[in-house]
Amino acid sequence: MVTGIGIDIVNLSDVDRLWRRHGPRFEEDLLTPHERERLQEIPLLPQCDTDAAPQSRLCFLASRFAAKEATVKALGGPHRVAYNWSEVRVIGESRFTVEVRGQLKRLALASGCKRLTGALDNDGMLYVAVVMGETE
Amino acid sequence: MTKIVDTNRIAEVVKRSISEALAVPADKVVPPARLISDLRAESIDVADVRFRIESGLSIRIDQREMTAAIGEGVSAEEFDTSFTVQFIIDYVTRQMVAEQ
Repeated sequence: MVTGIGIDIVNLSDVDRLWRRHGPRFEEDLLTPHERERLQEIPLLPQCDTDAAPQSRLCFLASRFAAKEATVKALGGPHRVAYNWSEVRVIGESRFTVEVRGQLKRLALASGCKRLTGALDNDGMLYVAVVMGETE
Repeated sequence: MTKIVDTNRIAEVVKRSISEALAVPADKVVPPARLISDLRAESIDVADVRFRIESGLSIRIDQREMTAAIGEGVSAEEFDTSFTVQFIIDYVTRQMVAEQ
């Protein structure tokens, strides 16, 4: 049974602006330690494309941002600024699963959500993520 | 050594951070202004505000801890009503006093 669906769209330029200004602080805030390791493996290129794998660190950050925001919405939190992004771990690329901890884990348990899966796409500028919570 | 917490400077840094991050005129960033419904902040903007305050005041602000200060289990409407410019000034002031 579906417990919730969340959708988020982020503009690459907004992520770029935040990353340029705050750099490592933004990375630390947005990503889990595993995701930060993954980020370091990605080349620092200026272009993004629509392939499943992120072509630059900026694309990776934008995709993670959209996926995490969509996750918080799928879990039905009272407001999406009331959580740390690092409580959400996104595993995968264009099709992904999500692990949550902390307050988001408690929200998931309260709603009976045992599985979070999602999909990502982009047109090179807009990154869209959809996440679905399910009981099984 | 005990540091003096300059509340005027905290308010100045918080207001300037909000004004610059949200690209809103400084005269709109008044204490009762609600970040989300009055100043139209998105979650990415709230992060920008937070990082700017951190940089301006040499502190670290945990998003979860800051918003938990509004109260656990509040509705979206209650959250929006409480998440004001004054709330952030007060939260940062309390944190800086506690860190002394």
